[in-house]
Amino acid sequence: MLSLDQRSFIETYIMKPKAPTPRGGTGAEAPTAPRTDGTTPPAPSTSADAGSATPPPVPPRLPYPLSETVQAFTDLEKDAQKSKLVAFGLSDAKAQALADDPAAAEQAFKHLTAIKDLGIPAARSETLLEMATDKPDMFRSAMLVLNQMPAGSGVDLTATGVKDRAATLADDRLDYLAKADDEKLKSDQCDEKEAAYNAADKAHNDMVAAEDARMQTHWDAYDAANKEVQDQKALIARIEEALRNKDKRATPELLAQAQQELEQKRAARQPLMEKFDAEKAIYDQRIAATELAANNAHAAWVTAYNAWDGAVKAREAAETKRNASINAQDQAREKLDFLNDLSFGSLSKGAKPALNDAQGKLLLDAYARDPGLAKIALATIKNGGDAAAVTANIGPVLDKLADGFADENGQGLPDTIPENDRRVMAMNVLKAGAAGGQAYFDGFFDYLKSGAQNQPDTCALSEEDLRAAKADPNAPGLSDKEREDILQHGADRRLAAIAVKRTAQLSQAMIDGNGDFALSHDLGALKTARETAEAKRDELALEVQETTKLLATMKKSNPSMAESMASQLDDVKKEHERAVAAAETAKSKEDEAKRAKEATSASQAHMMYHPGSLIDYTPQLNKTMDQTVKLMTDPATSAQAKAILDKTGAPNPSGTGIVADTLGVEPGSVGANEAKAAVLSAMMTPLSQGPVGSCFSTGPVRAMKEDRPLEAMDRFSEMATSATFTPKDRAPIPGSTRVPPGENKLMRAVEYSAATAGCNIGNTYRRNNLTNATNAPGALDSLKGALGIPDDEWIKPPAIGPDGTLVLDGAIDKLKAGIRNRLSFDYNADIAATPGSGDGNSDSGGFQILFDNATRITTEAEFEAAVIAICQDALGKASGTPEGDQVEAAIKTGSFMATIKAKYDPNAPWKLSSGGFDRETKKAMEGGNPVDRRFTAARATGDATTEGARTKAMVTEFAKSMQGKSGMSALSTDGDNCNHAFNAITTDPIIQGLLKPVEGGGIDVDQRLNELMLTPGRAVADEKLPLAQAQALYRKGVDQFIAVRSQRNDRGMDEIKDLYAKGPSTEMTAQEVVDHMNTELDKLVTLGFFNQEYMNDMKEACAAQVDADLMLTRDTPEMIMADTNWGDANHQVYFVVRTDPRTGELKQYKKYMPDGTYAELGKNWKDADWYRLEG
Amino acid sequence: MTDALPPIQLETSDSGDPIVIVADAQVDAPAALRDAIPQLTDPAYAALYAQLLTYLSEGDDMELIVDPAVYKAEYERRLAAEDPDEDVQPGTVRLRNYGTPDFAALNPPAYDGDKLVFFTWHRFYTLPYRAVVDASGMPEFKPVELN
Repeated sequence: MLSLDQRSFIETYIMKPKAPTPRGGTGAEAPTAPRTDGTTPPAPSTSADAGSATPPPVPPRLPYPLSETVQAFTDLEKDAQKSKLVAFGLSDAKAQALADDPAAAEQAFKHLTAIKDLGIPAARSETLLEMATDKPDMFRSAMLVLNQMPAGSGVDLTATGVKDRAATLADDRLDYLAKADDEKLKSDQCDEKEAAYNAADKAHNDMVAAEDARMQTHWDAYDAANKEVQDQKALIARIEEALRNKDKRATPELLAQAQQELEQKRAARQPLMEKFDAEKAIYDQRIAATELAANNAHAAWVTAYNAWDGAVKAREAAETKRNASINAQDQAREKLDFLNDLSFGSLSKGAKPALNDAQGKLLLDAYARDPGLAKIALATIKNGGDAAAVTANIGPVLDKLADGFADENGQGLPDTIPENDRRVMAMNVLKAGAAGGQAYFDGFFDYLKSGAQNQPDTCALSEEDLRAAKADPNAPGLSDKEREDILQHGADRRLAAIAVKRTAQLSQAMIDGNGDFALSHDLGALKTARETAEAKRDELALEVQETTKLLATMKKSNPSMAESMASQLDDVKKEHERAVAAAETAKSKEDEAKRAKEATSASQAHMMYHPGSLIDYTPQLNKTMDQTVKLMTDPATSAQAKAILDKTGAPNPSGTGIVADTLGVEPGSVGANEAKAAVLSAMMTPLSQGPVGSCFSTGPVRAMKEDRPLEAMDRFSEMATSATFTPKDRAPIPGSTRVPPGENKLMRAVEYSAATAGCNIGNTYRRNNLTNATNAPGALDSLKGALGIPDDEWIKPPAIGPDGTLVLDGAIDKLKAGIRNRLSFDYNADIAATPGSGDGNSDSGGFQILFDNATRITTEAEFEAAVIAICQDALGKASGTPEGDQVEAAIKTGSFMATIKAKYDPNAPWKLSSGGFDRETKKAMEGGNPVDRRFTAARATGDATTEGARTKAMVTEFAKSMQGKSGMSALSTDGDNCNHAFNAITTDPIIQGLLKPVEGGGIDVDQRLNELMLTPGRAVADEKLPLAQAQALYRKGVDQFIAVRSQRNDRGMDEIKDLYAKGPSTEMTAQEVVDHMNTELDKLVTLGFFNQEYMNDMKEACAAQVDADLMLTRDTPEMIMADTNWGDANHQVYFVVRTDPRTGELKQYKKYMPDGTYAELGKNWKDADWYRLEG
Repeated sequence: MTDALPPIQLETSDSGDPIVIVADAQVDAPAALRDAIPQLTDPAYAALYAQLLTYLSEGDDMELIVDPAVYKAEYERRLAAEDPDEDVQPGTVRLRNYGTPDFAALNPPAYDGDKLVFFTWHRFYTLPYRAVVDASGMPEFKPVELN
């Protein structure tokens, strides 16, 4: 049964209001509006009263005009109304305005009473009341949501309530921790007692065993003596018997002797019996002692066990109480967050974008059903999603979640898809719909109707797939190292492997049997072509028929003409045969185009709507799939794209392997169509840095794929068909066909080949240094002098050798050849050169010299030893011989090493310059001579420039350096744990704006930066936040500190818990809120509870919480500066610069798309050297 | 044969580019070689011509394959030196990252009709290339197909 409050609420906000009863029309009582003071006004007069014959009484005369009296009463009434409205939490101005409008006031009282009944703090009343006026449907839904949330003291949202709840939670947490400690203590004690009992029991058992053994000895001795006595007794009895029977062998003497012996044996037995009894007494004493000890130990164990059991129950009770407190806290936070959203957050009037009344109602109705998914929906809208589509469809999506995503026959998903995965599906439908709009939702609901969701996921990874991708930590036979590696990278590899499967399926569907791109087909044109061909065929068939008839007639009437006609008929028949074939071809083309188009559409729908695709959601993959389709169908690019596909032929053997692995098909089935599909598959795969540090190649290749997709397609085509990669202006190189498991092989083969092409350029440069040093005049002359090599042996004229090539046989030439041939350069991605990336996403590798292609040279001594060995071998002077020693001495004392050092300065052959080869890779792909130009130098030691000022200077120089650039433009950073190559995004509107000429002409980045980012950003930062918002922000901050401290039984716990009640008491800017919070936190230092250093760290952590909230709730200008290369099929990470909504200064962040979340960029990156790549 | 040829030296220019000194003249373009040393078009000098073209075109990046068996031995020596368990890394060249050449298809420099055909191996990749010299005297290097 509903409570009175529930009924009242339902009558107010859920039941439709009754239509007003016509005045006096039906005889029903006229409605009487309830007054806010609970009294009922007198019924108004009716028309019948007006028609009464009795005149109304004459009012008494007043000493002042009636109007003044009425006014006075009215004013008094208004004042009373206003006071009541203020008591509900309205501002004076708002209360006054309502008091001046009785009808509005009446309605307001109704709302305010309901708001109050829901336990909402008075400070929020005015905002909600505004919503009731501006967006009545949304308000009604908001009230429904609030009504579902716990009300009353359990969720007291006032500052005192928040504090008390926090205090209770902290106490309950501490109590739980104490009880848990006690449980542990009691458990340990119980274990000790159990061990003690076991020891005592064992001691007792040991004692019993030892005593039994000891007593056995005594018993055995007694028993033997006793047996002799008994035997003697038996002998005497036989002698006596014999005597009675007059047996001559028995004599009285014999009997006497036997009796004497019996006495002797009895005498011998007696001490043994006494000994046994004495030992038995000892036995009993000993056994009793150990048994008592064991019993006592057992009793102690039972006592300890009971104490532990009690402690467990106490801990469980405390845990239940703590969980109830956490639950209460969560409920309160949920409600408070919702109120914050309504008051000044994403559901408020000032939200960007703000929902209209209808959208708000739909979203809040969904919120009432499923707050979690409604929040996701709201976040997608906040992040730029299609508000109309999301709000219109969240209800139907929840309906489908409720019915198990059933098809039109009511068949829902199988039970093998758990509830959590279904929620993930719903969440991702909302996200995808936010990006794709109503069309996406329409497609989704149609897909569900069709029942395709209940078909198996054709892109699901098998166990075998997972193992091949090194993504299954439970695979048999893994070493610990391999398992650890999979635990670290397995999820990324699994996602990459999913992308491979999906692109393989879709790309193969896209290529029809004729090798054409299915979506390019104009089915209308194909139909027309088929109909035209069929008409021609039919026309010719008729002509054949008629000519045949005519010929038959002609043969009779005009044989000579018939001959000519017969020839004509043959021609027509031949033409008809060709027309039949043409019609069949046209029909076949049309059928194949239809089939391929349908298959492609089905495959696309699978990628977008199938449960497997929605559970393992890959929005970045879907985006690149769309981009590829656009490339193939957009008139601006389709002809060139088609030409590239058309020229993609059957692969050579290496290409076949690449294509087969890319599509997951058998090499034997690979032909031209598969090669084309593989090209599309590579195009559709997001190219991010992947599982290994490869930014130096990913950056340039990603830029090509994003900016110059046709060029990328061309390179994929080359790799698929010939397994080669052609660097700009250079000979093709073999394609690197081994890539990490689970990756798109064709895409990575191009990327890795670009990397090796870049490294080859780097190798040439480094090797040339070695050659030039070797060729330097006099570099090796010390050897000539030391060994006394004559001039004509040192240098010999070139000669043609037996193999027909030019042979340089002088000693110097042998030395040079030895150095050239036996020292090679190898790119080693694993060496920690200049410090590598802190996040695993940057380059750390570098070149090393290999001696005889085997030994890595990492020190000067190793290099020198290698050169000595080479020279000894080249000159035929073995090591250890006097001449070999001369060679060694000559190298060590000669000028060669100095020449080498000078050539490589500031590096050296044993410590070559390191990091990635983005310059070289770019050169390999685009030609030219790219050079790094630094636009921001690393922060110098002691440089006290503020972060805001440094970022501003960096952005200014960055923008200037982007003049004349388009699309992606290569950047790099160099510094501690931040060696990275990536791409600027020059199309960002802010960058474009910064480079827009100012009034009067010319580029003035500084002025534009102020206009576009700093001034509007500072305006946001300078804005005073309403009290409720300031308090909410403060609580977010101190939450962090209290959460940390309430895990410990601190000194000053009361003061810590009291922080909640010390929030702002007036409107403040965000910075003032943080200052206020810091002041309160510092007071705990003053009180001696914490040291300042610790508190400074905590203040930073608390401020970070405030900032995180501000980033989501306060809109400030943002420039997407660069694409980091970091990402996968699910997300992509960008470097952004945004005006800090707290300080109004520029700040750098990482932004994760499509979710739109932020993480502040690390200090090492902010303080690094920043370069642009030019040329 | 040497008597018939002018003195030839392989050098590098001041800018580090490969050049061939023929007597006192400097040749820095493959196509100019035939003019500087007309005897090179004689099939008897095919190996020398291929060597000089390779040097002028690719410097020390490539080496002429005169004896395919020698190259094969070097290839196999390098392959054997690799760690089969090493993870693949972009930029790091390992022979097992590529297919295997058909060594039987490699031949010493020779003329195929009027085209000089020869094989080289790339010092960085250790993989073979096939070069064809057309009428212009310019060699075109292409990686040998790998299996």
